[in-house]
Amino acid sequence: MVVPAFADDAAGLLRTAMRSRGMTCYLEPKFLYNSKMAQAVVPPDFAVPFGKARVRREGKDLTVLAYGTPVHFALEAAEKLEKEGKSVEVVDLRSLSPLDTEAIVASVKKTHRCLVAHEDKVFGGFGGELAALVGEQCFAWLDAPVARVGSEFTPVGFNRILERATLPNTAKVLEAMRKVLAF
Amino acid sequence: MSLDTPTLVRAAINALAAEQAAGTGDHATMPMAQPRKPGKEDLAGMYRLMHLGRVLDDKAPNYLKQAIGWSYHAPSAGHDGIQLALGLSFRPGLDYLFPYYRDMTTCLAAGLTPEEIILNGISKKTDAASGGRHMSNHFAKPAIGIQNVSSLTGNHTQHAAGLGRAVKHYQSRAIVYCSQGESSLSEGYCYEAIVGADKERLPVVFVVQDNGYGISVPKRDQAANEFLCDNFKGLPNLRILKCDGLDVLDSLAAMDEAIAHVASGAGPAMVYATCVRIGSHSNSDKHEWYRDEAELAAAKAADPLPRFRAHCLANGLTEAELKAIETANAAEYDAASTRAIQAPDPEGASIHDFVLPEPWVGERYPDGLHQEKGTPISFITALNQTLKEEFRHNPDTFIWGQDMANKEKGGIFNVSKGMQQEFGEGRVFNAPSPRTSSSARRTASPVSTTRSGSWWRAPSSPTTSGPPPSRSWRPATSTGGPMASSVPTSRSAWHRGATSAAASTTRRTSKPG
Repeated sequence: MVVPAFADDAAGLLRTAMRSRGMTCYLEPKFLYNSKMAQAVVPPDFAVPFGKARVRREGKDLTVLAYGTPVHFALEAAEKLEKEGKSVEVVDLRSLSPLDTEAIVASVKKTHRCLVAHEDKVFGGFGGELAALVGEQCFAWLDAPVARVGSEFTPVGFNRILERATLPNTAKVLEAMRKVLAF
Repeated sequence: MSLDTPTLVRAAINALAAEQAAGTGDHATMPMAQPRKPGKEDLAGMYRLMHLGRVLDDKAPNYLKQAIGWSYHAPSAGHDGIQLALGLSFRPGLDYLFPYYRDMTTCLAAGLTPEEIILNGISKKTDAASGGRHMSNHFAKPAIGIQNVSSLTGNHTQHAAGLGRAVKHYQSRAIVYCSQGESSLSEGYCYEAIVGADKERLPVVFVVQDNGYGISVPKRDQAANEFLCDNFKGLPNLRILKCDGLDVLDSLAAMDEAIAHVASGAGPAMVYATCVRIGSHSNSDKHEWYRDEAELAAAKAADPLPRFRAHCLANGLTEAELKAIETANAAEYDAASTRAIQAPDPEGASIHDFVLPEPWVGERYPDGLHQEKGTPISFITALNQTLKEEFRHNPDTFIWGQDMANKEKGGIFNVSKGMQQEFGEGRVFNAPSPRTSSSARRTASPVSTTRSGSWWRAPSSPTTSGPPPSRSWRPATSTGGPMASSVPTSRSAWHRGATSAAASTTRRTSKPG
């Protein structure tokens, strides 16, 4: 189960999926198809192994675990917080199953705070799994409860106002980051 | 590096090449559509199988009563004629058979031993279907081409149609058999599969066993037609043959005609066999609650086994010879049952085996990181470029789905743009409907790719959540084929981003196996 957020990972994960045995569920964030922020240099024959997260931005005060489009929200929000003197690490999971538990744990033990950002519903979403994992494996290192930001518990309405109210965005991720940092 | 493990299709092609060289095993060389007149030896062999199937069918409930297993058993009694005919038509190691859960006699006649039947029934480690992972009465033996992929009624029509596409693409003479009950024809995915097979003239024989009920639901609640095959009468390439499923010779004649039609390349066939259900739907059902005594007596009176026994007696076999067969069958059953009960059980620790299939591991980018400099490209360009590179790299790749390719159009978002021009219509093609991606799941190759379907999660869930586990975990093998199913997610692209009309797409790669 893989979810790329950048063009290079889109290519690399697709190559691995097409060469691997068995089924790969490849989630394509169509919002990113022609988005400038998802553009990347793609090296020849690039391949991304399953179960390898990628630290898209290094930081020391807070770890954001994200995949798909919210990786970009997290990067934008981290940029803003840097101006306020806060250093945020953004871990792009890229692969949900297998999951790079090692990279997640290493990052949280370093920053002592964790926010999960995804487009999934917060209630019953995959972030609950991530929060539990961090709680179980990093409890003694945490300075704040693991927080989550994602979609509201309701279907996505077609009107843009309804859509915006439901889905996460950079402002919502920024607000969630601030809350975890302020705890 | 290309995928080097032979697929079942390739194995079958190789087996076929050997058979063709030897001048045997080819349906095209058989006299076609001639009613069979089996000799005494043939009749004896057929009676042995039909009787042995019944012995197993009658004994199966005992294992549950003794708390040994077989907690799901759907009796085959009353379907014996068509099941024997279907099993005998199947050529082990060459053809493919997708049976349903009532097909015990089919599987016995197709090449499973009584011991293998019981090993599946009581969920042993050595069960050829799944090592005890799949339900009982879900018989399979992938080594000879018998697959049992899903318990969802009629779901395997899709696998059969997809595999038929593979057989056709690789120019094999194999025939794909798919068997199901009449009520499962009401499933939407059966329509997709049968219409798709008709459209592409795929070498699939759909065998429909009509016993009048879907569990307790009478046939009249399924459709207005008395014979549900008539729902498919408008399909131009599908040959529909009705037969008496109680009568093995009539069923064999229908099978022969179906096979001749399919082998000619004219299209798929549907053999619609009228049966009776002598028992309940399964051991979870109690048919006395909805069938009266007269109906049950009539079903019992129509039992194919004594009917065929009488035919054998009238055509050269003696009472003593039939008795000898029955005695030998009872002994064979006893020996098989003893061995099966003593067979090893699966170990609890094995539950984690084959959950995630072995991924391909490249050497160049061990962590999936790089420091490449150059011109950035968009996400969609990266997808299109990589698809093309992989299609050049591996000729056994396919991509299909709704709106895949039509002249300059290449997918709803142009992800597959230019692919049909470069790789041809044999590898890049439209599927008949948004959801028929799933109908071609078992497609033509080691790797195939599908783009389709906005509504992957809900309406298609039987086809997406049913079969994939069956591809590696349930058969307890690591041989599940490559299959990348991509589901565009996230924010409504109806408003943004896309220059073309927006929808979502699914990509899926698959191989027969």
